[in-house]
Amino acid sequence: MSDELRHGYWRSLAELAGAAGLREDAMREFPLGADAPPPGMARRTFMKLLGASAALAGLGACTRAPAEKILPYGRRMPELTPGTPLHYATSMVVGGYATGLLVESHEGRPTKVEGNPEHPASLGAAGVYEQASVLQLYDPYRARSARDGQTPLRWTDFARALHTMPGAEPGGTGVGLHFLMRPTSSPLTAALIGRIRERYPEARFHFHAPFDERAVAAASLALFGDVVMPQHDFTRARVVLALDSDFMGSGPFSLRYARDFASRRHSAIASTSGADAGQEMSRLYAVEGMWSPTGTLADHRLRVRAGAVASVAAAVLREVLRLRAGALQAGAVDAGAAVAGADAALVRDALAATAADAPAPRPWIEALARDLANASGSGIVIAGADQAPAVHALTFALNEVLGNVGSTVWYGTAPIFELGTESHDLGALVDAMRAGAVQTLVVASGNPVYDAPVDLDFTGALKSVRHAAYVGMYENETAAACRWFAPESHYLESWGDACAYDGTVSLIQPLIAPLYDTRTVDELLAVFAGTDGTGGNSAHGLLRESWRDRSGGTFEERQWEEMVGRGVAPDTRSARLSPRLRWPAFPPLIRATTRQTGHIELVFERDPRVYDGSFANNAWLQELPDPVTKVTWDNAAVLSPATAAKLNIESGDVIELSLDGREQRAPAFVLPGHADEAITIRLGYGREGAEEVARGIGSNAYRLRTRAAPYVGGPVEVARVLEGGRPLRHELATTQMHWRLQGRDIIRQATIDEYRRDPELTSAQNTRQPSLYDRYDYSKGDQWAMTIDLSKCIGCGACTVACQAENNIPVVGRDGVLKSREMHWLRIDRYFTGGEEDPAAVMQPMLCQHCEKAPCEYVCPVNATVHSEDGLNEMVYNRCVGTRFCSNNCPYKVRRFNWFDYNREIAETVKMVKNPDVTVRERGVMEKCSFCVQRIRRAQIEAQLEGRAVRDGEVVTACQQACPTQAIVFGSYTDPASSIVRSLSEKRAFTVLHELGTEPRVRYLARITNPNPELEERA
Amino acid sequence: MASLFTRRATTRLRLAIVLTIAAMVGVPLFLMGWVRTPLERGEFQPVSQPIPFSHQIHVRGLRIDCRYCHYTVERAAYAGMPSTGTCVPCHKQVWLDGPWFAPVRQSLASGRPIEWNRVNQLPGFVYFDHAIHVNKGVGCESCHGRVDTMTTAVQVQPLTMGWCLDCHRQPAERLRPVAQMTVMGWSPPAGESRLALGRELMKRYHVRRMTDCTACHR
Amino acid sequence: MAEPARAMGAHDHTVLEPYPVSRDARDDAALTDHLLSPIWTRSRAWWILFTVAGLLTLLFVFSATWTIAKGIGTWGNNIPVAWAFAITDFVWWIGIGHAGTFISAFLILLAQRWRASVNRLAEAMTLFALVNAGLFPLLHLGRPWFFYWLIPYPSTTRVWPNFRSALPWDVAAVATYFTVSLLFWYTGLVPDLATARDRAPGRIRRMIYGIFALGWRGAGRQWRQYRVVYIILAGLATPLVISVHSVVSLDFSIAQLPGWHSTIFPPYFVAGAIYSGLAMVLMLMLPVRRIFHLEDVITEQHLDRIAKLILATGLMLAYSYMCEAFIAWYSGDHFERYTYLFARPRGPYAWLYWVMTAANIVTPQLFWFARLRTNVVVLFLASVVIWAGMWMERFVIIVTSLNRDFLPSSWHLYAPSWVDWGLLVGSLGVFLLLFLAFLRWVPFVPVSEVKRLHFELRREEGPLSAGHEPPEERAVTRPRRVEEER
Repeated sequence: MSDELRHGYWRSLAELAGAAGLREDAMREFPLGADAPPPGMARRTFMKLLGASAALAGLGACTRAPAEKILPYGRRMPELTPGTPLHYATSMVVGGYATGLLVESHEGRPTKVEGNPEHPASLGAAGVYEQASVLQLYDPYRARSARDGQTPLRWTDFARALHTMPGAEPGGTGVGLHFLMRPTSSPLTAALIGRIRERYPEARFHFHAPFDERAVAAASLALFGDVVMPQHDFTRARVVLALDSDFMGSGPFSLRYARDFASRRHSAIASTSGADAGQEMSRLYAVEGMWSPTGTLADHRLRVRAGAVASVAAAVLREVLRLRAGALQAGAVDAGAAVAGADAALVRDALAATAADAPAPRPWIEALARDLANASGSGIVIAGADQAPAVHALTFALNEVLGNVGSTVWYGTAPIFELGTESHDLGALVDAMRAGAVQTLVVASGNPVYDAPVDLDFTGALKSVRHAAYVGMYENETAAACRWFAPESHYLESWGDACAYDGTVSLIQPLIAPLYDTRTVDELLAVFAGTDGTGGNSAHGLLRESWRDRSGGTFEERQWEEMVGRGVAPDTRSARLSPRLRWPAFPPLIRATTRQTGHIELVFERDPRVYDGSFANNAWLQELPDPVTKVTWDNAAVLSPATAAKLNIESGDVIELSLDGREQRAPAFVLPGHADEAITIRLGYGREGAEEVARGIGSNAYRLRTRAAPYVGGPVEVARVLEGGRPLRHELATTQMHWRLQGRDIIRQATIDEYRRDPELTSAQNTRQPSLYDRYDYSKGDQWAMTIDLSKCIGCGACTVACQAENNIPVVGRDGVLKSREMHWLRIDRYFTGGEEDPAAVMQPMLCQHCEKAPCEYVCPVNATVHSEDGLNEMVYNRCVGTRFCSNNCPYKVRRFNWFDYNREIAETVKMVKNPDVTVRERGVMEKCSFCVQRIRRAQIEAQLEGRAVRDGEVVTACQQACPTQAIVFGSYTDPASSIVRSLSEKRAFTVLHELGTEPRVRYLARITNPNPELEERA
Repeated sequence: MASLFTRRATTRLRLAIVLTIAAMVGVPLFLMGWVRTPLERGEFQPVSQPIPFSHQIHVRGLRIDCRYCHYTVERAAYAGMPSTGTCVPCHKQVWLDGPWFAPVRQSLASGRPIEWNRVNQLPGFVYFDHAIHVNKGVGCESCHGRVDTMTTAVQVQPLTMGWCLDCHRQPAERLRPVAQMTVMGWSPPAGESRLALGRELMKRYHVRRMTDCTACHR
Repeated sequence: MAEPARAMGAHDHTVLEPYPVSRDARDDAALTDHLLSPIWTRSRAWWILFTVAGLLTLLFVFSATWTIAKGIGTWGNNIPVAWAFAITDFVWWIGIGHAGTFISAFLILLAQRWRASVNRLAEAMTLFALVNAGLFPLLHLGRPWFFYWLIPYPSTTRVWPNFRSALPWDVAAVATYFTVSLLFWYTGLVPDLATARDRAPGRIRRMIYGIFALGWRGAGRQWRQYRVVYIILAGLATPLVISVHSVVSLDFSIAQLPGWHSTIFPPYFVAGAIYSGLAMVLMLMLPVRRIFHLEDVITEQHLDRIAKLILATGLMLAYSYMCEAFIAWYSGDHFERYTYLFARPRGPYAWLYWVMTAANIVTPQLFWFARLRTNVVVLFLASVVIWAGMWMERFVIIVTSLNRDFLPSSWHLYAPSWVDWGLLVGSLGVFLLLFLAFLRWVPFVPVSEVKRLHFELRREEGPLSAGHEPPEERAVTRPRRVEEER
């Protein structure tokens, strides 16, 4: 039957976590949290627990069946008004770095994640991982109890068991005791590790993650003699060169960088039409093989496979140095500072050698170099963390030579604990395991069995470890290979801390007491740190302790409360370092780059949706379309049309990739604009753990990933898999089939110069259409409108997930997507312009346009979709009979239909994620973007209660709130001072399908690019 | 050959035809009538509660203001139900040891709430906000009736959409000064007509006709 | 020209019997017996067909139940193609329904005598087609249990249907059409039911027919009133033929979707409806005519006339097709042009489009030739082709317009699920079941009308020969007898 997967998913959810099951959990937890309340936190936990159970009992309120019972609070909670959500600050850690968040809680039930405006890595935005993390909290497939073999344990017993393991006995020296953790930036964890080392001098710590910054560390260690992290200020960057770097789409500071980059660009564009026309607009060059969100926004994108980026970088540096030398003769600038005489020759040779086979047209390199040189001091060269040390070395050098260091680029200490040391080399641990030196291995989160380099054969080595204990959120591959297992708390259930990329210490505070018998990694370490043998200490206690220590006892309750409240520790940003670049170390570094030509290379990338696989069980993320390929519920071997043609492969063909004698099958996906001679495959799929949602989805590329070539492998053999002589096919569930614009004026773009010459370029598309009817008077009261700036949208998808979380949007599964039944109210259309080989990409978020003359409204036979006085296109679910006429008549096709009863069979836990302010739709009704009407109405009611009008910025839609680049502006245009009015009045505003006269309330701002005049013809 | 039909056959047939037509018209009419009866809407039907709580005693007898127990009615969507602690101060003196109070004592001991049964039930897709209504001059009485006369609380209004719309379309007649919100059996000061006062209050409180669907359905 | 009917059998196709009923010497009694015989005789073939139809009906019931139990998701529909098979079937069936009323009502007003012997069959077809047509929109709703919200009535929510939408009107139109057609059909049936009552072997049957005959005695008064009522109903039914399908066409033309948004839809749909209906009339009539040896009642003249009508409506349809395409091109509108000049003729469903065009435009051209108009085999095959072609037309209009509309990003193909097929094939079963029942238990050739026509023809020929008094007078004798019996 249709959408098996969905049913498989939801039904088994229901079975796994029956209603009763969870209620018991919640109740049983309740005394647990209350009987031994940690100081200073009893009240809140208590309240949350009560809240949680009350919320559970009253779940009817947010499902279809109306509640029959009314449950007041047993005791009155001063800070809680039933029905009014509260927000708490916390942080989520991805890849070791923290992003600050504000989490919305309904009666103690976290339902929605927003960015923390006070946090440097967020500034109020939240990415897809953060947005979707709340679903993970309620994931019924999370592990619920500790075990020894198959016998279940309570956590405390598990902790005791740990102490009986060789090396871990109290009083022991820790010989043979090894810990394997994820790289961490948490001061608390660091402190605990310190304590454990004191107690067990011989104990060893190892850090492993499939994606890390060892390449950067290596380069900086070699060049600067110290491990430093480059920091960037994009608000001041005039020219940016991204070397295979998706600095806006992924990475620890991407939200911040995206915001900075976009804001500068926008101020330039906006000022164009204004008085001070001519403010410098930043220009972005991207050198990449696979499309990244950043690449889609680039003014010039050089299609180069990952393995060749080094040579391009070298060519650029070489060119820059030549210019410098020229300038030197002219006595213009002092190039000596750049490269000291003696080294100069060496450096030049090395560059010549490396740049030899740069697959880039000379004029391109020259133009770029000139541009960078002219922008000296206000340019940024940034390299992707996954690139080889050579590329990072070249990047350091470029910034150095261009004089960017100190202004737009500076260096800070690495927040990651012991980054660049041997402890970050998994190989060392595996050798020890093989040598039998490891009696006890404690794996704290992560999933090494699944994601360790295949040639290390971690699994094999693990067999030789007698006592292997794993603490993680899921019974995953690693758990299966370990005798002892204990469940880990979700971050929304945890106390803790971590650093942002710039070093700022961020607090992690729980929104809800653990749903199951779980602990955090810090609490696990505490077991060994010996603060108390049973690990009874709460992370909360540990955290306060560590802060008291840090502040040397002068730490007061008030400070603590304030810090927790803000989620950020004041002025903890890492200091600006100015390490000297040691040129002699430079040549050997870049010579080390492996030359790869004349064969197909295989590039491993982190997945924009499931990261390294740790979010693979999150249905929201699985169903979120990939930013560029638009593939859902799968990963694919992506390759360029030319390469595909050469290999005689079509999208959907299953191909076999063989690398160093290892084979792995994956469906092919032909993507315009991908680099030739290269295949990109995302990691994190093909899971085999107990995560029902993730299991069996996609192809596990870790099976091809070796220690030597973690990111770029090759040569790779590619063969179509045949079955009975016919190519084996695997249909990929993509949400967008056609990428051509068909010559339709759906997207408007122009270069900044064109725009300056003719600011009226969209005037034909933002005027009112003549009509025979009188226009309804939309000038009084609030009049809601939205603008979306195509110059800013990078298509990251944060808005889509945010919308899904806010509006209780169901998941339809792979089959549903294949049938084109995805429910996302807000989708991001991706079009390619130009030739198939080397096109430009443009993203267009598409949601209900809230047409003043909505085609959907007049065709609905039952008045289920009508217009409100404040200009909303209202969809009334409880009136809808489901003729679907509205969808047929919607030119934007943004309406969604409940083909099945998507909400009936979901687990009780998953019901807890539902937003009680939004109706959960039943089978057979239409739904669509409502402009987050629940937020509008609440704001209006609050304003009315205070006897005032709604303020500008008081109503923020979920998508707007999440957007890292602030591409979305929302508000009432009757308020002349509002940001929406400013945005609407931009000359480049236009409406999609203007000729239909639907008068949308959503307007798009034309995409303005800033190509280099020298390369104009390529733009 | 015997005749096929008796004399009455024709009459019977005619009757049958008439009845069929009558049924075709009558059944729908009956149903439309039925949904308009208090029985169908669950009006005036006592709801059993864990404790025989009498609003009459508390409101009329002891003159306790509604807001003492329903403490969030002015600032939140939910009017708020009294937490068990609310009962204790007074009932320490009386009743607390009485058999009726077993649920209260249990609740106090366990911290678990008392499970009251809902009296005024709105469908899940209706988002009703108490705060905005009471702050715009809609008295408790307007929807909940003379609670001060109820020994056991009952629903006294249809709570149908049509009923809501009556007021949302013509608010004036149903408004009263906010100060009089919780007064039972309020009537406008002598000499003032309800309508005139209402019109004036509409201006004072900026009351609008709220007929947008999303005012209640989200 | 003796025995012209036979002569027809012999291969002289140039001359047609001038009268729609053969004049071979048969008295009314014989004629009556001949026409009523099918409902007394048993046949194995009938039972086999009836079983087949029954099974298909079960398939329909199953698919329908499945849909209601699980949701519309069991169909192939999606976004953008939110309407597909079910609506195609609906428009198709309701179109077929038009021929019946057209033949009986239109032609009676135009005093086309020849309609007499075929109208009942056509009317029955109309009714049964409408039964199907009525079911599909109901099943198509996401929440069918709220169907009554499309009917204007004072509800406790104070919400009314949206009269700007075509759908509430659609409900009204179809319901009215069904009611009037039913009355019209039944009224016409009464005298024959009476005849059946009088001739029925066995009391039970006589009872049953008797009840439905509503005590018809054939008295002059009854005949006069009967004629009046019949004409009035015909007058009522005629405009409905036009209005119903015009309203149905509005379901599409009020939308702004390229391929739907077209002002010629109403006439275009009506023509198409009658076209497909006539095709189905032939499909049903030819076998019946052969099996029950009705060649002298349903003469080649009938076939010839119907074929001509098919040709005429077919030409109107062809004109509409051309008109649409031309306007699309002439409008210069990008989207219109894309739909008519690319998406349909060259898009993913192009093959269907071309088959459809061939079936509906080329086939009727056969009927320019007189001998083909009366060639039973050709007629039958042609009508099957047209009948199927018209289904495709509706599919093309609905699906190829939806699957590629304004934003390329939302384009997506449509593929029917087994439920879609189950409902389509099943609905054929439902129709067949009803039609077979009709053949078996109801006089499917209007005996009285044929006899009357027979009589009139003879009278025009010349002085009455004995034993050929007009049916009325024969009929009046009966009540007298009934009186005696009392």
